[in-house]
Amino acid sequence: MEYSYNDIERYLKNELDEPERRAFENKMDKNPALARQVEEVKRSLIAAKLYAEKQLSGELFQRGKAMLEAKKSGKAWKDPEREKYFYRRLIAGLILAVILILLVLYLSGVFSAPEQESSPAPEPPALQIPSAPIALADYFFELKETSGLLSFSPDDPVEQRWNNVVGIYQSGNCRAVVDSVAVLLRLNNFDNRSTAYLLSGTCYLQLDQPEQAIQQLGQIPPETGELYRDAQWYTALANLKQSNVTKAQEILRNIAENEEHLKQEDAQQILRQLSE
Amino acid sequence: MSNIFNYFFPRWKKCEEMADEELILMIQAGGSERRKAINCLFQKYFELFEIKFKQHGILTEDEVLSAFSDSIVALDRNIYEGKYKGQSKLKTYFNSILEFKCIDIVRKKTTNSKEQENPVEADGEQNRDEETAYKEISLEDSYTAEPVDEDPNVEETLVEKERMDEMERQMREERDRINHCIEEGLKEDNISEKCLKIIMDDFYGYDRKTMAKRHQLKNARVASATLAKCKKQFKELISDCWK
Repeated sequence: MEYSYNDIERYLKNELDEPERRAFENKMDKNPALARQVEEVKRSLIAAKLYAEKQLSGELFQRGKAMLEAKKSGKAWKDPEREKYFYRRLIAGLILAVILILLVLYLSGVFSAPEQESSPAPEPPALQIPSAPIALADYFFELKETSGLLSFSPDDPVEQRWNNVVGIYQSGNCRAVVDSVAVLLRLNNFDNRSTAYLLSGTCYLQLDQPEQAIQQLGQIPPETGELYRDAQWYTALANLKQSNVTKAQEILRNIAENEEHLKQEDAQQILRQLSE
Repeated sequence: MSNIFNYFFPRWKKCEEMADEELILMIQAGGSERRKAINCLFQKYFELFEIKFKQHGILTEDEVLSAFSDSIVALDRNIYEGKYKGQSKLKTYFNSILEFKCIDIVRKKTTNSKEQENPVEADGEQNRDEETAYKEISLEDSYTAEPVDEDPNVEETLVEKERMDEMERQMREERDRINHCIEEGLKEDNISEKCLKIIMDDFYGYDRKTMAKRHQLKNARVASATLAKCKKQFKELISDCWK
Protein backbone atom coordinates (compact mmCIF):
# COMPACT_ATOMS: atom_id res chain seq x y z
CA MET A 1 0.00 0.00 0.00
CA GLU A 2 1.28 3.43 -0.96
CA TYR A 3 1.04 6.24 1.53
CA SER A 4 0.25 9.77 0.52
CA TYR A 5 1.37 13.03 2.14
CA ASN A 6 -1.99 13.18 3.92
CA ASP A 7 -1.62 9.63 5.31
CA ILE A 8 1.82 10.46 6.65
CA GLU A 9 0.52 13.69 8.16
CA ARG A 10 -2.34 11.80 9.80
CA TYR A 11 0.15 9.32 11.23
CA LEU A 12 2.32 12.09 12.60
CA LYS A 13 -0.68 13.85 14.11
CA ASN A 14 -1.86 10.60 15.73
CA GLU A 15 -5.03 10.61 13.68
CA LEU A 16 -4.77 6.97 12.52
CA ASP A 17 -6.65 4.31 14.43
CA GLU A 18 -4.69 1.55 16.11
CA PRO A 19 -4.65 -1.08 13.27
CA GLU A 20 -3.86 1.60 10.71
CA ARG A 21 -1.04 2.96 12.84
CA ARG A 22 0.42 -0.53 13.37
CA ALA A 23 0.25 -1.29 9.65
CA PHE A 24 1.89 2.03 8.89
CA GLU A 25 4.73 1.45 11.32
CA ASN A 26 5.32 -2.09 10.00
CA LYS A 27 5.56 -0.70 6.51
CA MET A 28 7.91 2.03 7.70
CA ASP A 29 10.20 -0.56 9.36
CA LYS A 30 10.49 -2.46 6.13
CA ASN A 31 10.64 0.51 3.83
CA PRO A 32 13.46 3.00 4.47
CA ALA A 33 12.12 5.26 1.69
CA LEU A 34 8.83 5.62 3.56
CA ALA A 35 10.71 6.26 6.78
CA ARG A 36 12.64 9.00 5.01
CA GLN A 37 9.41 10.41 3.65
CA VAL A 38 7.94 10.46 7.14
CA GLU A 39 10.97 12.36 8.36
CA GLU A 40 10.57 14.88 5.57
CA VAL A 41 6.90 15.42 6.26
CA LYS A 42 7.59 15.73 9.97
CA ARG A 43 10.25 18.30 9.27
CA SER A 44 8.00 20.24 6.92
CA LEU A 45 5.20 20.27 9.50
CA ILE A 46 7.58 21.63 12.10
CA ALA A 47 8.85 24.10 9.54
CA ALA A 48 5.34 25.28 8.67
CA LYS A 49 4.57 25.79 12.32
CA LEU A 50 7.85 27.60 12.95
CA TYR A 51 7.20 29.78 9.94
CA ALA A 52 3.68 30.66 11.11
CA GLU A 53 4.82 31.40 14.63
CA LYS A 54 7.63 33.55 13.37
CA GLN A 55 5.18 35.48 11.21
CA LEU A 56 2.81 35.88 14.12
CA SER A 57 5.59 37.01 16.40
CA GLY A 58 6.66 39.56 13.79
CA GLU A 59 3.13 40.90 13.51
CA LEU A 60 2.83 41.18 17.27
CA PHE A 61 6.19 42.92 17.44
CA GLN A 62 4.93 45.53 14.97
CA ARG A 63 1.75 45.90 16.97
CA GLY A 64 3.81 46.49 20.10
CA LYS A 65 5.93 49.07 18.30
CA ALA A 66 2.81 50.93 17.20
CA MET A 67 1.45 50.84 20.76
CA LEU A 68 4.71 52.19 22.15
CA GLU A 69 4.94 54.91 19.54
CA ALA A 70 1.39 56.00 20.27
CA LYS A 71 2.16 56.06 23.96
CA LYS A 72 5.30 58.11 23.44
CA SER A 73 3.49 60.64 21.29
CA GLY A 74 0.73 60.87 23.88
CA LYS A 75 -1.94 59.56 21.53
CA ALA A 76 -4.38 56.80 22.30
CA TRP A 77 -3.49 53.64 20.45
CA LYS A 78 -6.18 52.43 18.09
CA ASP A 79 -6.47 48.79 17.25
CA PRO A 80 -6.37 48.57 13.42
CA GLU A 81 -8.74 45.60 13.57
CA ARG A 82 -11.25 47.65 15.49
CA GLU A 83 -10.73 50.57 13.14
CA LYS A 84 -11.70 48.26 10.29
CA TYR A 85 -14.90 47.37 12.14
CA PHE A 86 -15.56 51.06 12.78
CA TYR A 87 -15.76 51.68 9.04
CA ARG A 88 -17.89 48.60 8.56
CA ARG A 89 -20.29 49.89 11.19
CA LEU A 90 -20.26 53.30 9.61
CA ILE A 91 -21.17 51.79 6.23
CA ALA A 92 -23.84 49.62 7.82
CA GLY A 93 -25.21 52.66 9.62
CA LEU A 94 -25.41 54.62 6.39
CA ILE A 95 -27.11 51.73 4.60
CA LEU A 96 -29.65 51.43 7.41
CA ALA A 97 -30.25 55.18 7.37
CA VAL A 98 -30.88 55.11 3.62
CA ILE A 99 -33.24 52.14 4.00
CA LEU A 100 -35.07 53.96 6.78
CA ILE A 101 -35.44 57.13 4.72
CA LEU A 102 -36.67 55.13 1.73
CA LEU A 103 -39.14 53.34 3.98
CA VAL A 104 -40.45 56.60 5.39
CA LEU A 105 -40.76 58.05 1.89
CA TYR A 106 -42.49 54.89 0.71
CA LEU A 107 -44.95 54.99 3.57
CA SER A 108 -45.65 58.64 2.98
CA GLY A 109 -46.66 57.73 -0.57
CA VAL A 110 -43.90 59.55 -2.44
CA PHE A 111 -43.23 56.50 -4.60
CA SER A 112 -46.82 55.53 -5.26
CA ALA A 113 -47.90 56.06 -8.84
CA PRO A 114 -49.97 59.19 -9.37
CA GLU A 115 -53.58 58.29 -8.95
CA GLN A 116 -55.16 57.56 -12.26
CA GLU A 117 -57.82 60.05 -13.06
CA SER A 118 -60.90 57.94 -12.94
CA SER A 119 -62.65 58.30 -16.20
CA PRO A 120 -66.27 58.65 -15.30
CA ALA A 121 -68.90 59.06 -17.89
CA PRO A 122 -68.39 62.48 -19.40
CA GLU A 123 -70.44 64.91 -17.46
CA PRO A 124 -72.42 67.45 -19.37
CA PRO A 125 -70.55 70.69 -19.29
CA ALA A 126 -71.73 72.63 -16.30
CA LEU A 127 -73.73 75.66 -17.25
CA GLN A 128 -71.77 78.68 -16.41
CA ILE A 129 -73.90 81.15 -14.55
CA PRO A 130 -73.37 84.47 -16.25
CA SER A 131 -72.68 87.62 -14.35
CA ALA A 132 -73.94 90.21 -16.84
CA PRO A 133 -77.48 91.42 -15.89
CA ILE A 134 -79.17 90.71 -19.22
CA ALA A 135 -77.56 87.31 -19.49
CA LEU A 136 -78.55 86.57 -15.90
CA ALA A 137 -82.17 87.43 -16.74
CA ASP A 138 -82.11 85.14 -19.77
CA TYR A 139 -80.46 82.38 -17.71
CA PHE A 140 -83.07 82.41 -14.96
CA PHE A 141 -86.13 83.18 -17.07
CA GLU A 142 -88.74 80.57 -17.77
CA LEU A 143 -92.44 80.90 -18.40
CA LYS A 144 -94.82 80.40 -15.54
CA GLU A 145 -96.02 76.91 -14.79
CA THR A 146 -99.72 77.04 -15.78
CA SER A 147 -101.14 73.95 -14.12
CA GLY A 148 -104.03 75.06 -11.94
CA LEU A 149 -104.72 78.16 -13.96
CA LEU A 150 -107.47 76.67 -16.06
CA SER A 151 -111.05 77.61 -15.31
CA PHE A 152 -113.63 74.97 -14.45
CA SER A 153 -116.69 76.78 -15.82
CA PRO A 154 -116.87 75.51 -19.39
CA ASP A 155 -120.28 77.09 -20.02
CA ASP A 156 -119.03 80.66 -19.46
CA PRO A 157 -117.78 82.12 -22.79
CA VAL A 158 -115.27 84.41 -20.99
CA GLU A 159 -113.91 81.50 -19.03
CA GLN A 160 -113.64 79.55 -22.28
CA ARG A 161 -111.61 82.32 -23.83
CA TRP A 162 -109.39 82.38 -20.74
CA ASN A 163 -108.78 78.68 -21.00
CA ASN A 164 -107.81 79.24 -24.64
CA VAL A 165 -105.28 81.91 -23.57
CA VAL A 166 -103.77 79.53 -21.00
CA GLY A 167 -103.53 76.88 -23.72
CA ILE A 168 -101.78 79.31 -26.01
CA TYR A 169 -99.42 80.29 -23.16
CA GLN A 170 -98.59 76.61 -22.63
CA SER A 171 -97.75 76.32 -26.32
CA GLY A 172 -95.30 79.24 -25.96
CA ASN A 173 -97.04 81.58 -28.44
CA CYS A 174 -96.41 84.70 -26.42
CA ARG A 175 -97.47 87.19 -29.13
CA ALA A 176 -100.94 85.63 -29.23
CA VAL A 177 -101.07 85.57 -25.43
CA VAL A 178 -100.43 89.33 -25.02
CA ASP A 179 -103.02 90.16 -27.66
CA SER A 180 -105.62 87.82 -26.19
CA VAL A 181 -104.96 89.04 -22.65
CA ALA A 182 -105.41 92.66 -23.80
CA VAL A 183 -108.87 91.74 -25.21
CA LEU A 184 -109.86 89.83 -22.10
CA LEU A 185 -108.82 92.66 -19.83
CA ARG A 186 -111.20 94.95 -21.60
CA LEU A 187 -114.10 92.77 -20.63
CA ASN A 188 -115.80 93.82 -17.45
CA ASN A 189 -116.80 90.31 -16.46
CA PHE A 190 -113.31 88.87 -16.64
CA ASP A 191 -112.24 87.74 -13.18
CA ASN A 192 -108.70 86.34 -13.62
CA ARG A 193 -107.16 89.75 -14.13
CA SER A 194 -104.07 89.34 -11.94
CA THR A 195 -103.24 85.98 -13.51
CA ALA A 196 -103.76 87.48 -16.96
CA TYR A 197 -101.36 90.33 -16.15
CA LEU A 198 -98.80 87.73 -14.99
CA LEU A 199 -99.08 85.75 -18.20
CA SER A 200 -98.97 88.89 -20.29
CA GLY A 201 -95.99 90.28 -18.32
CA THR A 202 -93.97 87.08 -18.60
CA CYS A 203 -94.78 86.94 -22.30
CA TYR A 204 -93.53 90.47 -22.83
CA LEU A 205 -90.37 89.38 -21.08
CA GLN A 206 -90.16 86.43 -23.42
CA LEU A 207 -90.71 88.81 -26.36
CA ASP A 208 -87.80 90.89 -25.05
CA GLN A 209 -90.01 93.81 -24.11
CA PRO A 210 -89.11 94.38 -20.47
CA GLU A 211 -90.70 97.79 -20.20
CA GLN A 212 -94.15 96.41 -21.11
CA ALA A 213 -93.47 93.43 -18.87
CA ILE A 214 -92.85 95.73 -15.88
CA GLN A 215 -95.96 97.66 -16.67
CA GLN A 216 -98.15 94.50 -16.84
CA LEU A 217 -96.61 92.91 -13.75
CA GLY A 218 -97.05 96.15 -11.81
CA GLN A 219 -100.83 95.71 -12.05
CA ILE A 220 -100.77 92.75 -9.73
CA PRO A 221 -101.64 93.80 -6.15
CA PRO A 222 -99.77 92.43 -3.10
CA GLU A 223 -102.93 90.85 -1.76
CA THR A 224 -102.75 88.20 -4.44
CA GLY A 225 -100.01 86.43 -2.47
CA GLU A 226 -98.44 83.83 -4.71
CA LEU A 227 -99.19 85.80 -7.88
CA TYR A 228 -97.67 88.93 -6.40
CA ARG A 229 -94.51 87.00 -5.43
CA ASP A 230 -94.28 85.67 -9.00
CA ALA A 231 -94.75 89.21 -10.32
CA GLN A 232 -91.89 90.41 -8.07
CA TRP A 233 -89.58 87.75 -9.49
CA TYR A 234 -90.38 88.52 -13.13
CA THR A 235 -90.21 92.29 -12.47
CA ALA A 236 -86.68 91.80 -11.12
CA LEU A 237 -85.74 89.88 -14.25
CA ALA A 238 -87.32 92.60 -16.44
CA ASN A 239 -85.22 95.22 -14.65
CA LEU A 240 -82.12 93.13 -15.28
CA LYS A 241 -83.10 92.97 -18.92
CA GLN A 242 -83.14 96.72 -18.89
CA SER A 243 -79.80 96.72 -17.09
CA ASN A 244 -81.49 98.46 -14.22
CA VAL A 245 -79.37 96.62 -11.70
CA THR A 246 -80.10 98.78 -8.65
CA LYS A 247 -83.84 98.30 -8.96
CA ALA A 248 -83.40 94.61 -9.71
CA GLN A 249 -81.14 94.15 -6.67
CA GLU A 250 -83.69 95.93 -4.47
CA ILE A 251 -86.45 93.53 -5.52
CA LEU A 252 -84.16 90.50 -5.38
CA ARG A 253 -83.10 91.34 -1.82
CA ASN A 254 -86.76 91.30 -0.79
CA ILE A 255 -87.18 87.91 -2.44
CA ALA A 256 -83.90 86.59 -0.95
CA GLU A 257 -85.05 87.50 2.55
CA ASN A 258 -88.46 85.95 2.12
CA GLU A 259 -88.44 82.35 3.20
CA GLU A 260 -91.84 81.76 1.68
CA HIS A 261 -90.74 82.85 -1.77
CA LEU A 262 -90.18 79.93 -4.11
CA LYS A 263 -87.43 81.85 -5.91
CA GLN A 264 -85.49 82.71 -2.70
CA GLU A 265 -82.41 80.63 -3.63
CA ASP A 266 -82.38 81.86 -7.21
CA ALA A 267 -82.59 85.46 -6.01
CA GLN A 268 -79.65 84.88 -3.64
CA GLN A 269 -77.61 83.39 -6.45
CA ILE A 270 -78.30 86.29 -8.79
CA LEU A 271 -77.29 88.72 -6.05
CA ARG A 272 -74.00 86.83 -5.56
CA GLN A 273 -73.35 86.86 -9.30
CA LEU A 274 -74.05 90.57 -9.48
CA SER A 275 -71.70 91.31 -6.59
CA GLU A 276 -68.86 89.47 -8.40
CA MET B 1 -28.52 37.00 7.47
CA SER B 2 -26.78 36.55 10.82
CA ASN B 3 -23.45 36.31 8.96
CA ILE B 4 -24.09 39.71 7.40
CA PHE B 5 -25.07 41.13 10.77
CA ASN B 6 -21.96 39.70 12.43
CA TYR B 7 -19.84 41.09 9.61
CA PHE B 8 -21.03 44.65 10.28
CA PHE B 9 -21.65 44.39 13.99
CA PRO B 10 -19.18 41.90 15.40
CA ARG B 11 -19.38 41.07 19.05
CA TRP B 12 -16.48 43.02 20.37
CA LYS B 13 -15.65 43.39 23.99
CA LYS B 14 -12.76 45.43 25.25
CA CYS B 15 -9.77 43.16 25.83
CA GLU B 16 -9.53 44.35 29.42
CA GLU B 17 -13.08 43.16 30.00
CA MET B 18 -12.37 39.64 28.75
CA ALA B 19 -11.83 36.95 31.33
CA ASP B 20 -8.96 34.48 30.96
CA GLU B 21 -11.43 31.64 30.51
CA GLU B 22 -13.06 33.46 27.63
CA LEU B 23 -9.75 34.08 25.90
CA ILE B 24 -8.73 30.45 26.38
CA LEU B 25 -11.95 29.27 24.77
CA MET B 26 -11.44 31.66 21.86
CA ILE B 27 -7.94 30.32 21.24
CA GLN B 28 -9.16 26.74 21.43
CA ALA B 29 -11.93 27.57 18.95
CA GLY B 30 -9.28 28.51 16.37
CA GLY B 31 -9.65 30.71 13.30
CA SER B 32 -10.51 34.37 13.64
CA GLU B 33 -11.50 33.94 17.28
CA ARG B 34 -8.01 32.69 18.03
CA ARG B 35 -6.50 35.62 16.16
CA LYS B 36 -8.60 38.08 18.16
CA ALA B 37 -7.71 36.40 21.44
CA ILE B 38 -3.98 36.60 20.63
CA ASN B 39 -4.25 40.33 20.02
CA CYS B 40 -6.22 40.69 23.21
CA LEU B 41 -3.67 38.82 25.27
CA PHE B 42 -0.99 41.02 23.79
CA GLN B 43 -2.89 44.14 24.80
CA LYS B 44 -4.04 42.85 28.16
CA TYR B 45 -0.59 41.84 29.36
CA PHE B 46 1.31 44.68 27.76
CA GLU B 47 1.98 46.17 31.19
CA LEU B 48 4.28 43.21 31.80
CA PHE B 49 6.41 44.38 28.90
CA GLU B 50 7.03 47.65 30.72
CA ILE B 51 7.83 45.85 33.96
CA LYS B 52 10.33 43.53 32.25
CA PHE B 53 11.90 46.41 30.41
CA LYS B 54 12.57 48.13 33.73
CA GLN B 55 13.73 44.90 35.41
CA HIS B 56 16.21 43.93 32.71
CA GLY B 57 18.07 47.16 32.22
CA ILE B 58 20.59 45.43 29.97
CA LEU B 59 17.94 44.75 27.34
CA THR B 60 16.80 47.22 24.72
CA GLU B 61 13.15 48.04 24.16
CA ASP B 62 13.14 46.01 20.94
CA GLU B 63 14.68 43.01 22.64
CA VAL B 64 12.07 42.99 25.40
CA LEU B 65 9.33 43.57 22.88
CA SER B 66 10.63 40.65 20.82
CA ALA B 67 10.66 38.46 23.94
CA PHE B 68 7.15 39.67 24.76
CA SER B 69 5.85 38.82 21.27
CA ASP B 70 7.51 35.38 21.33
CA SER B 71 5.99 34.75 24.74
CA ILE B 72 2.49 35.55 23.51
CA VAL B 73 3.06 33.10 20.63
CA ALA B 74 4.23 30.45 23.10
CA LEU B 75 1.27 31.10 25.40
CA ASP B 76 -1.12 30.78 22.48
CA ARG B 77 0.51 27.55 21.36
CA ASN B 78 0.38 25.99 24.82
CA ILE B 79 -3.29 26.88 25.19
CA TYR B 80 -4.19 25.68 21.67
CA GLU B 81 -2.32 22.40 22.12
CA GLY B 82 -3.80 21.87 25.58
CA LYS B 83 -0.48 22.12 27.43
CA TYR B 84 -1.83 24.83 29.68
CA LYS B 85 -4.04 23.06 32.21
CA GLY B 86 -5.29 26.09 34.06
CA GLN B 87 -3.59 25.18 37.33
CA SER B 88 -1.90 28.54 37.62
CA LYS B 89 -3.32 31.90 36.63
CA LEU B 90 -2.86 32.69 32.98
CA LYS B 91 -1.03 35.90 33.78
CA THR B 92 1.35 34.13 36.18
CA TYR B 93 1.96 31.47 33.58
CA PHE B 94 2.61 34.06 30.91
CA ASN B 95 4.88 36.02 33.23
CA SER B 96 7.09 32.98 33.75
CA ILE B 97 7.35 32.40 29.99
CA LEU B 98 8.26 36.02 29.46
CA GLU B 99 10.81 35.90 32.23
CA PHE B 100 12.46 32.85 30.60
CA LYS B 101 12.61 34.63 27.29
CA CYS B 102 14.12 37.76 28.79
CA ILE B 103 16.73 35.85 30.78
CA ASP B 104 17.58 33.87 27.66
CA ILE B 105 18.33 37.06 25.79
CA VAL B 106 20.31 38.41 28.75
CA ARG B 107 22.31 35.19 28.79
CA LYS B 108 23.04 35.35 25.09
CA LYS B 109 24.10 38.96 25.39
CA THR B 110 26.34 38.43 28.39
CA THR B 111 27.83 35.25 26.89
CA ASN B 112 28.67 37.11 23.74
CA SER B 113 30.30 39.96 25.64
CA LYS B 114 32.17 37.53 27.93
CA GLU B 115 33.40 35.61 24.93
CA GLN B 116 34.74 38.85 23.58
CA GLU B 117 36.30 39.88 26.92
CA ASN B 118 37.51 36.48 28.25
CA PRO B 119 37.04 33.53 25.93
CA VAL B 120 38.38 30.96 28.50
CA GLU B 121 35.89 31.88 31.23
CA ALA B 122 33.11 31.96 28.76
CA ASP B 123 33.93 28.41 27.79
CA GLY B 124 33.07 27.02 31.21
CA GLU B 125 34.43 28.83 34.19
CA GLN B 126 31.49 30.93 35.06
CA ASN B 127 30.56 31.36 38.69
CA ARG B 128 28.08 28.97 40.19
CA ASP B 129 25.04 31.30 40.33
CA GLU B 130 25.31 32.31 36.75
CA GLU B 131 25.81 28.71 35.69
CA THR B 132 22.62 27.65 37.43
CA ALA B 133 20.72 30.46 35.88
CA TYR B 134 22.04 29.63 32.42
CA LYS B 135 21.23 25.98 32.92
CA GLU B 136 17.68 26.96 33.73
CA ILE B 137 17.52 29.20 30.75
CA SER B 138 19.11 26.72 28.40
CA LEU B 139 16.32 24.33 29.20
CA GLU B 140 13.87 26.88 27.92
CA ASP B 141 13.84 25.98 24.36
CA SER B 142 12.52 28.67 22.08
CA TYR B 143 10.16 26.18 20.52
CA THR B 144 8.91 23.77 23.14
CA ALA B 145 10.20 24.31 26.59
CA GLU B 146 7.98 26.95 28.11
CA PRO B 147 7.04 26.12 31.66
CA VAL B 148 4.11 23.83 32.16
CA ASP B 149 1.54 24.64 34.77
CA GLU B 150 0.87 21.15 36.03
CA ASP B 151 2.74 22.13 39.13
CA PRO B 152 1.93 25.63 40.29
CA ASN B 153 5.43 25.94 41.62
CA VAL B 154 7.34 27.21 38.64
CA GLU B 155 10.70 26.67 40.37
CA GLU B 156 10.09 22.92 40.63
CA THR B 157 9.06 22.80 37.03
CA LEU B 158 12.35 24.35 36.07
CA VAL B 159 14.36 21.78 38.02
CA GLU B 160 12.46 19.04 36.27
CA LYS B 161 13.28 20.60 32.96
CA GLU B 162 16.98 20.51 33.78
CA ARG B 163 16.86 16.79 33.00
CA MET B 164 16.42 17.47 29.37
CA ASP B 165 19.02 15.37 27.60
CA GLU B 166 21.35 15.72 24.71
CA MET B 167 18.71 14.49 22.30
CA GLU B 168 16.58 17.55 22.94
CA ARG B 169 19.52 19.81 22.31
CA GLN B 170 19.95 18.04 19.00
CA MET B 171 16.33 18.69 18.24
CA ARG B 172 16.89 22.37 18.89
CA GLU B 173 19.78 22.38 16.51
CA GLU B 174 17.60 20.70 13.97
CA ARG B 175 15.02 23.41 14.39
CA ASP B 176 17.63 26.08 13.89
CA ARG B 177 18.47 24.34 10.67
CA ILE B 178 14.82 24.22 9.67
CA ASN B 179 14.58 27.94 10.35
CA HIS B 180 17.56 28.48 8.15
CA CYS B 181 15.93 26.40 5.39
CA ILE B 182 12.71 28.40 5.64
CA GLU B 183 14.65 31.62 5.20
CA GLU B 184 16.58 30.22 2.26
CA GLY B 185 13.50 28.72 0.63
CA LEU B 186 11.53 31.94 0.93
CA LYS B 187 14.42 33.92 -0.50
CA GLU B 188 14.28 31.81 -3.64
CA ASP B 189 10.53 32.30 -4.07
CA ASN B 190 9.90 28.55 -4.16
CA ILE B 191 6.44 29.00 -2.75
CA SER B 192 3.71 31.48 -3.61
CA GLU B 193 2.51 34.25 -1.30
CA LYS B 194 -0.98 32.76 -1.42
CA CYS B 195 0.31 29.37 -0.26
CA LEU B 196 2.07 30.97 2.67
CA LYS B 197 -1.14 32.74 3.66
CA ILE B 198 -3.07 29.47 3.42
CA ILE B 199 -0.47 27.78 5.61
CA MET B 200 -0.91 30.61 8.10
CA ASP B 201 -4.66 30.04 8.10
CA ASP B 202 -4.11 26.35 8.73
CA PHE B 203 -1.91 27.28 11.65
CA TYR B 204 -4.64 29.49 13.15
CA GLY B 205 -7.10 26.65 12.71
CA TYR B 206 -9.50 28.23 10.24
CA ASP B 207 -12.00 25.69 9.00
CA ARG B 208 -11.86 24.86 5.30
CA LYS B 209 -15.07 26.70 4.47
CA THR B 210 -13.80 29.95 5.97
CA MET B 211 -10.43 29.35 4.35
CA ALA B 212 -12.17 29.07 0.96
CA LYS B 213 -13.95 32.37 1.56
CA ARG B 214 -10.81 34.15 2.70
CA HIS B 215 -8.84 33.08 -0.36
CA GLN B 216 -11.60 33.23 -2.97
CA LEU B 217 -11.60 29.47 -3.48
CA LYS B 218 -14.64 27.70 -4.81
CA ASN B 219 -15.52 25.65 -1.75
CA ALA B 220 -14.18 23.83 1.29
CA ARG B 221 -13.06 20.87 -0.80
CA VAL B 222 -11.00 23.09 -3.09
CA ALA B 223 -9.56 24.75 0.01
CA SER B 224 -8.49 21.35 1.37
CA ALA B 225 -6.86 20.41 -1.92
CA THR B 226 -5.10 23.76 -2.16
CA LEU B 227 -3.83 23.46 1.40
CA ALA B 228 -2.47 19.97 0.70
CA LYS B 229 -0.72 21.28 -2.40
CA CYS B 230 0.78 24.15 -0.45
CA LYS B 231 1.99 21.86 2.29
CA LYS B 232 3.70 19.66 -0.29
CA GLN B 233 5.36 22.71 -1.80
CA PHE B 234 6.52 23.70 1.64
CA LYS B 235 7.88 20.19 2.21
CA GLU B 236 9.81 20.35 -1.07
CA LEU B 237 11.21 23.71 -0.08
CA ILE B 238 12.55 22.32 3.21
CA SER B 239 13.70 18.99 1.76
CA ASP B 240 15.67 20.68 -1.03
CA CYS B 241 17.53 22.78 1.50
CA TRP B 242 18.06 19.85 3.89
CA LYS B 243 19.96 17.69 1.39
